[in-house]
Amino acid sequence: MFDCGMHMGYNDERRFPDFSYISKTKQFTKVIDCVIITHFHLDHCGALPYFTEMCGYDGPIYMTLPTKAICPILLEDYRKIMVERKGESNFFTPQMIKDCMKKVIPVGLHQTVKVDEELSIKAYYAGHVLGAAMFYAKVGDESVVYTGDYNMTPDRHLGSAWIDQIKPDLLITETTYATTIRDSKRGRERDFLKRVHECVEKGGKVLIPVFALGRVQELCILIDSYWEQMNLSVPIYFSAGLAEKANFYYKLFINWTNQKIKQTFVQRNMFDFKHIKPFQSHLVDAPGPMVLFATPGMLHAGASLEVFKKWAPSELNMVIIPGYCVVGTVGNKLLSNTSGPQMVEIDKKTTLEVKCKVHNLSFSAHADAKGIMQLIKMSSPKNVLLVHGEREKMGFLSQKIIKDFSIPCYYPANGTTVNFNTQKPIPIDISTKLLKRQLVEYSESQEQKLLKQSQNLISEGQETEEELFNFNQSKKLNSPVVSIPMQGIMIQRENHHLKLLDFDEASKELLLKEINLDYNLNLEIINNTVNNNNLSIEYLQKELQKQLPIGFMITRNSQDQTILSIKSIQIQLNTANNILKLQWSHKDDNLSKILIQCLKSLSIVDVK
Amino acid sequence: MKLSCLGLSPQSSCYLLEYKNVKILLDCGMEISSILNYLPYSLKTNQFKNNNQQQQHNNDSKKEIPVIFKEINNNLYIDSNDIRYSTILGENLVDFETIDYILISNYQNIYSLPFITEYTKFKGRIYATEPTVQIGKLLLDELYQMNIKQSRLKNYNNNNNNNILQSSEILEKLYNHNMNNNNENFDEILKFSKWKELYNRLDIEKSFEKIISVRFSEIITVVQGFKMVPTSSGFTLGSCNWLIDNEHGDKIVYLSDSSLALSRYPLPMDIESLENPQLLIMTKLNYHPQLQPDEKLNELCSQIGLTCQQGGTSLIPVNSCGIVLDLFEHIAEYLTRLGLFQVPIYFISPVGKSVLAYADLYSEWLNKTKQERSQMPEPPFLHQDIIRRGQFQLIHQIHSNFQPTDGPSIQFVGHPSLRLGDVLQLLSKYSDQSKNSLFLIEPEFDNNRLLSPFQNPPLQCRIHYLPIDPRINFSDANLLISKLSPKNLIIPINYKNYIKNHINENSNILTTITPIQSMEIIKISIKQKFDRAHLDKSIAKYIKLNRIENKLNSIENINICEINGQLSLKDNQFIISSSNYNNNNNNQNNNNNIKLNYIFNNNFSIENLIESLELNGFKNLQISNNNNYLIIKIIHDNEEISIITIYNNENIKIETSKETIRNQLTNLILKFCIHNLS
Ligand SMILES: [Zn+2]
Repeated sequence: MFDCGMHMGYNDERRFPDFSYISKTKQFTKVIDCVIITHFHLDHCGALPYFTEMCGYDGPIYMTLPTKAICPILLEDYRKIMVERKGESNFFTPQMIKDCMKKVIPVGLHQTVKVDEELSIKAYYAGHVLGAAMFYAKVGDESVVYTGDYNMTPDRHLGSAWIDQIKPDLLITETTYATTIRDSKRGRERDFLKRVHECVEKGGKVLIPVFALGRVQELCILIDSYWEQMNLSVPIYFSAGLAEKANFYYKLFINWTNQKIKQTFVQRNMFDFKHIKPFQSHLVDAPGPMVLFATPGMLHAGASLEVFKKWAPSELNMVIIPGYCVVGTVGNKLLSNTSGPQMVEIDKKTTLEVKCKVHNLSFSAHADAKGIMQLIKMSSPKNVLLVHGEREKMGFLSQKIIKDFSIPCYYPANGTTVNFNTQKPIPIDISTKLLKRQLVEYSESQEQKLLKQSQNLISEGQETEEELFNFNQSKKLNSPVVSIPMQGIMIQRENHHLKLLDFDEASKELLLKEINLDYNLNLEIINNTVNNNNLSIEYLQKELQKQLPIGFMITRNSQDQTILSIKSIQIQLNTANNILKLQWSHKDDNLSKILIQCLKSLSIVDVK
Repeated sequence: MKLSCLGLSPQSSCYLLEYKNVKILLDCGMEISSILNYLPYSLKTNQFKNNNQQQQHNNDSKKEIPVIFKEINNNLYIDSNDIRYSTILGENLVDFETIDYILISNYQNIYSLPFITEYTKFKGRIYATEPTVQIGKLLLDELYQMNIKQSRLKNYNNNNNNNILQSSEILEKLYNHNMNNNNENFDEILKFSKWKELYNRLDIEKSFEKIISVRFSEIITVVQGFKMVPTSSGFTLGSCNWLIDNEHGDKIVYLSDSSLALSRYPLPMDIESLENPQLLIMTKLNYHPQLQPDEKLNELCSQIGLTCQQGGTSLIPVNSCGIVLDLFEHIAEYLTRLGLFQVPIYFISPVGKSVLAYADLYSEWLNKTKQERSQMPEPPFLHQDIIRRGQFQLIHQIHSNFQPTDGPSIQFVGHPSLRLGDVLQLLSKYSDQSKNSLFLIEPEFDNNRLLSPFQNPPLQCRIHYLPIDPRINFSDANLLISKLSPKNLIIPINYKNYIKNHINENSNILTTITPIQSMEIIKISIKQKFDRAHLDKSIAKYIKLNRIENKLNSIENINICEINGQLSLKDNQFIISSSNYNNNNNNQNNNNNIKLNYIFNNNFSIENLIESLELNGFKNLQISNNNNYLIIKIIHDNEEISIITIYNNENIKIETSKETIRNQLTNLILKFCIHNLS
């Protein structure tokens, strides 16, 4: 199971996934081999304690170390809001979160984890948020990549997603920004800084409601370095508590951030902000300009809402909402009308006149259409499945994917099942002896020139005795042979891999006695002018070679110059007795038939 | 499979593995203890001047010892601050251009890398774990800094060094004089070893850029059909063993520095992944196998405690990363327990700050307790806490304003060879008082060789030789071999008398042990029977299975079939597909794959054949038995003769002059055979 998220827009049972699709009888542990969580956002991990502690799933759970560290904090934060403020019952408890997280097995990037005998998984860097990963899962010869949320352009604190060209049978990608090609990140950053700067210059206060983890660290880096650069002294605050802890995670997991931050952290950790200080509640009434980052991000409760109530009535001030707000929150109400002053209902009893400026700036790090196409190109999947997006936009994008990559692309509705045909080559164990023999035969037929190359293909080169310290016996050619003939006996036995063996090996394995059937055919040479004048061994060799398929070389016997040979076949010209003697073994019967046919068509012998 | 040893001793571990025509260099360490052949610069110009003149005078008649050498206690020392380093052997013999991969096990075994990447034609890929790359780079840089600082000091012997030191005569003199060499290849080694000037900063920078960092259990797939995987070795930050493996049970394990100690900071050693290899290369075992690291650690603590209580300074020469990561926390805690929390601990190293900062970042590479701390979130190591308490100070280097307290203190400082680095300054500062202590804890340096130049005047401080080596010792190694049960085991020749033959209890495999020494090549035949290939659609659809009887087990179904196809390499996989012949029967000239005809005996016998011949109109038969040969002469109506010779019921030969008759006879025989399997 990839991810186990929560829908933030619902307040009833619909907020958790309908797990009855997996098992009507709640046999989740039996049905699911493992749960993989891609990152700490609640729409990806929010239902995990519910699934493990309330639905009874008891199998392995995998996530990266930063996700494992941060995920419980966000879960607890959300739980508090739901239970303590909204009075929800039937929600998981703090103990359940702890118990659930204990079961999580951390995975490192690129580490291949064997979940069981069949299933292995591997994590790739996804950008997006700290610790976010895409996951590759493989069973036998079938494989799938699930992206979670990802980001194809590096930002101030994270790198961009990257994956091998692993050619999965299926790529499941998020499509939050399926059809958008977003304007440059720099532009949005400049816009943000300009607005903040203008506001504080005029003596206004800027409130930026944020989630404690994620984009806010990027904004802090942005604003901290801007302040440094512009030499500004207006105070910047970060609402205390969770936030400080959050920054600490970034300091500790700096390996998961981008190259620049990693390289400089010993001299200066980017998350040790110079201008940003912890906020104290009395500062809310302090005169003069300031910038404040406060949680939560949707202005639905807590510090950000308290400050908002005080600052909103002044038109000098500004609120910048750097993300998405769920319907029903104050943040959402504000964003639905950013044009001018408005009356906003804070709760049933309170209505507030909002005169401050309101802005929404999207800093959310998802891949846009271009990024999605990049990832498809990078991983070269055989099928693509679009999720986590709007239906119409996914439809549009899927057309583009089908057109550009000529691969099937799906965007199923929730609750439906898609089947994929994975036509896989059949694995077969090929005998190394056979492989070697065929390579050597082929190389010899190619007049030795490929011998060295083909030896690179086989397990162990034909080792010759070398002198001690002769390290340089052969320079290697690395281009592989395109294709070589392969002939052998395939054996299928119960409970065994398919095997392809050399003839001798097969007879040994199956206790079958091989019969060597050899022939000795003495053909009379036809008396005609051509033969009488021209029939020489050279002529025969030349003419026969012409008729033979490419790759079959007729050679002259070095001891007896009257004999031609090819494979097991020998042709001896005895002009004195007017006899052409053919010898071969039954193995090469087909080849000999071709030769006899040639001799006949050249009117050399009469074949009766 | 072939293994060549390019290291002078296990310390400068370096092996060249050739497997499936791929050349893999396993580690490229440096024989760092060779710098013990140099005199510490702090002694050169003062204490030994007279001594030297005297000696020169004494040896005037022989004139054997050049000016650059000093003899102390029958050991020759090189009196120069322009140090040369003993890198891997046979550099002029190995064609680095043909080496495909370099695999590094940990940062101790990477010191020769810049020599290879920047001074040879090597163009392969280098793999190391992420901490190995980061810490390794810091340590090489530190060595560079210490070296450059020292070589810039004025010294009267610098000018003529280059020529003299590169001459193998001098090396030989040094070797013969100072070491008991029982290596049979000693002459070869002399021929192939070369002491070199250290690389520069740019070399390090460029060299490390070429390394591809990997994580534990990350699979590196090699085109030639195998994979290489680093697995945790428990020795130090990011240290690994390498597993070279394929789907057919060829399994080679390169076991480098490993530790089984559970209380240490690194992620524990992964043993399971290494089990049942065809070949185990076991290098770098404990330098002091008879000592228990835990006991030495306890003794170190209590001696430090005593020194502090007597108001003395404890000077501890160390490597800037490694065992120190165990020691700082441990000693700080010990001192606090004794109530000596006001005694400052100094870590004097140009890279100390970075090492500690990186160590805190690599929680994924640390033991479980430390990993859990990172999730709190707290730094996995306690160093920052101890620093905040004021108990621990990081000093970049010793300079005029480094003023340690007058009272007791503990000073960790490099280089542990006592030939380089700030340790020399501190040693001259503290060695003249008996209340101070010098602790020699790094295991790779020999006690006597370390100290013997410091005898005039003798060191007054107390000297504690307490090497702490967390590596696997011989008895652990023997247990580990039992558990891993390798078919073949290669060990450095130095371990020959300590590693025993095993019959593994579980698998009954007798391990064949082969010792290897410098410049030796060992061939191990790994009998691989199969390679993995795939039958593609084009050929699979033509396959017609023929059921045959199993002579041993009549219940088992066996199907056989002849495959006639072509083999190609796609995406690193062998694919068998249908050849042109199957697609296009008419165009024989384009086909290079003419079907073979195999025959197996089903119920062929001479009686059957004769009966069948007669039934088919061959009435005139003359049968004769000649030794083991049975000859059937068939006399045809026109008095022509065909002959069938049968030997042993397995070899049949038909001799005739008519193709039609041959065909007829062949078909009679094939009736009793399994044939036409495609
Ligand atoms: Zn997300």
